[in-house]
Amino acid sequence: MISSFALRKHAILAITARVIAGVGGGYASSALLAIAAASALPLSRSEAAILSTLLALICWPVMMILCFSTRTAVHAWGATVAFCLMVGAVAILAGWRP
Amino acid sequence: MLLPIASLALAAVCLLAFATPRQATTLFTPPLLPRHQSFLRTAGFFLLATSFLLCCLAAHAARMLLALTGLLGVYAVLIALCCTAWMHWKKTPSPARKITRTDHKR
Amino acid sequence: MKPTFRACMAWLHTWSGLTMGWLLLAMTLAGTLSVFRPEINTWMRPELRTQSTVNPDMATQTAIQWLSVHAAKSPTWYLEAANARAPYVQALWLEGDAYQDHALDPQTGSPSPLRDTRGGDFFYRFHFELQLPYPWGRLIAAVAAMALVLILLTGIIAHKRIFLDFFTFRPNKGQRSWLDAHNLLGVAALPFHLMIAFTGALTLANMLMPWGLTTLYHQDFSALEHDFNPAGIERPASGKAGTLAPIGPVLADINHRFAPNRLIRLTISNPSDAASVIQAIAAPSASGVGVETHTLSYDGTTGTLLAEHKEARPIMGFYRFLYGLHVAHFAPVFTRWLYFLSGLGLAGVIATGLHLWTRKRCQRHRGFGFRLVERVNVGMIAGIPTAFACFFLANRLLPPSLATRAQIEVQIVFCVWAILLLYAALRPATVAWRDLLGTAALACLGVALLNGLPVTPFQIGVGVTALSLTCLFSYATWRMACAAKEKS
Repeated sequence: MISSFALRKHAILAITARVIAGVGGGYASSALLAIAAASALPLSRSEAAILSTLLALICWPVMMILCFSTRTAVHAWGATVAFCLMVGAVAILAGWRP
Repeated sequence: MLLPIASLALAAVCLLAFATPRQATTLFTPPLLPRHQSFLRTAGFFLLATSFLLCCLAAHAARMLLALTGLLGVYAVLIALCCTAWMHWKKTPSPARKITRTDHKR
Repeated sequence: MKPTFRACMAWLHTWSGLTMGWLLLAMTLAGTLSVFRPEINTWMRPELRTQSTVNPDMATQTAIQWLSVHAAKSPTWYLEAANARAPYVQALWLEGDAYQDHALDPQTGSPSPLRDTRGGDFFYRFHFELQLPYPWGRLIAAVAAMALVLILLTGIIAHKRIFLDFFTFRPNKGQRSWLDAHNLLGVAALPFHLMIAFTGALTLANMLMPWGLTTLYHQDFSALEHDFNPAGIERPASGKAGTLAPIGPVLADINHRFAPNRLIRLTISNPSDAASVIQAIAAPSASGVGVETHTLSYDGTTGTLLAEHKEARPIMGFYRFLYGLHVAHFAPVFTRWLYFLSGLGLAGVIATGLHLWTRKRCQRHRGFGFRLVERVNVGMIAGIPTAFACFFLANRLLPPSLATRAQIEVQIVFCVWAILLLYAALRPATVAWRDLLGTAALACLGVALLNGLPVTPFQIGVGVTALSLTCLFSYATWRMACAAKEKS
């Protein structure tokens, strides 16, 4: 009885972690992708802004799918944070300053 | 221009529907052989591709392609319902017709 | 999570579908009706029926004459030109603190011969503003659009036999039939569903995902405005009074430059000022899909051309194309009906999906969550169409001269919706389904009857749709009545 309750609580915690990673972390990833693409793409301002927005809108559902397909919730967070760092690095290299 | 393309698309969707394994085995007696199914499928895709190509060549290509895509959806639903009705008619026992029950391939 | 990737996606599809389903159902039904926004606008103003044909330029001229007298102090007038689908001028202007949004009679330019109603604009605004104050409604709608993209993608991944089961529909097999219907409606119009969800999120992208814009433009709104609207002239009011040049010659020049496309929107900034500007936007060309691809700006007091822009930039053109795909202004009649049917299909996908959730769990332990979903499903799936139908009924039944009748029509929608939700919450589900579906059938029948004998194309369209929906809801009511009788 106690072990099944603990198991259920663990499952709820894992799912909540994935949801936050997917929704919050996914949004942050998409935002950073938009910033990186806007800064790095060799296009005029308006065109770079539009293309980066399109990429970001595609990125968010994909990140959500990713966060629910990793083996554990920790992996989901790891993947999200890794993506954010990678894309943030690209943005900073392209001249963006937060 | 839309009418010939719409007719081609309808023929294409019909062929593709009949070539689907479930429909090929349940709607027809005797059931369509796999090689007949793949022939119908190829013919169906060929007609579908032709209809898309004709849209590209027509005036106002973008609008024609959009209309065709929407029309294909309507066709898919209607043909699916027709297949359901056909299957129901086949299964309904009728004294004038010999009852045929085919093996359902799941 | 679950053992396989597909099972994880099925889980995500179920739970994101359940949490966002009711909101998406409301947005989808309102958006589907918005396809015929001008037609519904015209249907809801039967006083327009007496006009034979409307000359769009004459209508615009009389509208501007009326506005010059009654809205002279307003900083901007937004006019939508009259056309065959909408034989009136829709004018929006700021009066003090509040926006005035009225249809102007094409003969007199005044709003008074036409009954005060939101018309089709109610459905249009509701589907992306949700009757909530700015910016909350739009933000929620934007998130819902993104959720719909996610739900569609996970649904595609989770659907195992997507090609083998393409044409499969097996009725009278309980849960299996509902799943077949959900899959059939979803897969048959899948390009439409994906397109409308993604482009819907795109139209609200400057709220949802502005980071690309802010990174490049920071707070430079005038540069942003110039890049997105190169023919736009930003001129602050000079303070000196001025009168608009006679609009006839300006309209003639606009038509000449836009030919063969017609004028759809006119924006007049600072109309009573010496620094007034008239901006004109053309309808999409006969082969085009994108919005706002050709714009003109004129000096208001002299009527001379200041700027012209035809969109040639590839990515900007692509953005306008995607925007145009969503708003479907380009669509000829046939395509517009395809949009309408596909929108109803999407509503069907959402409704069958919501119903499947309860169907799958009705044999198990029925906790509070199950009972909540079961009852809200009835209130939403049967309640929203009834509430929307009551908007049409209210338009015909409320006296035309009633003050604030536009607000009352909208309030009736939400009152009916609330009453139906309450009824569904209090009665057992099978009974509630039968009763609410019956009410929906009666409401649609009411619309068909109040439509009168169909004379105009708008009446024919409304009549056919209302009668078809009456038949659909009547059949559903009959099925639920049989089920309710079996249960008791």
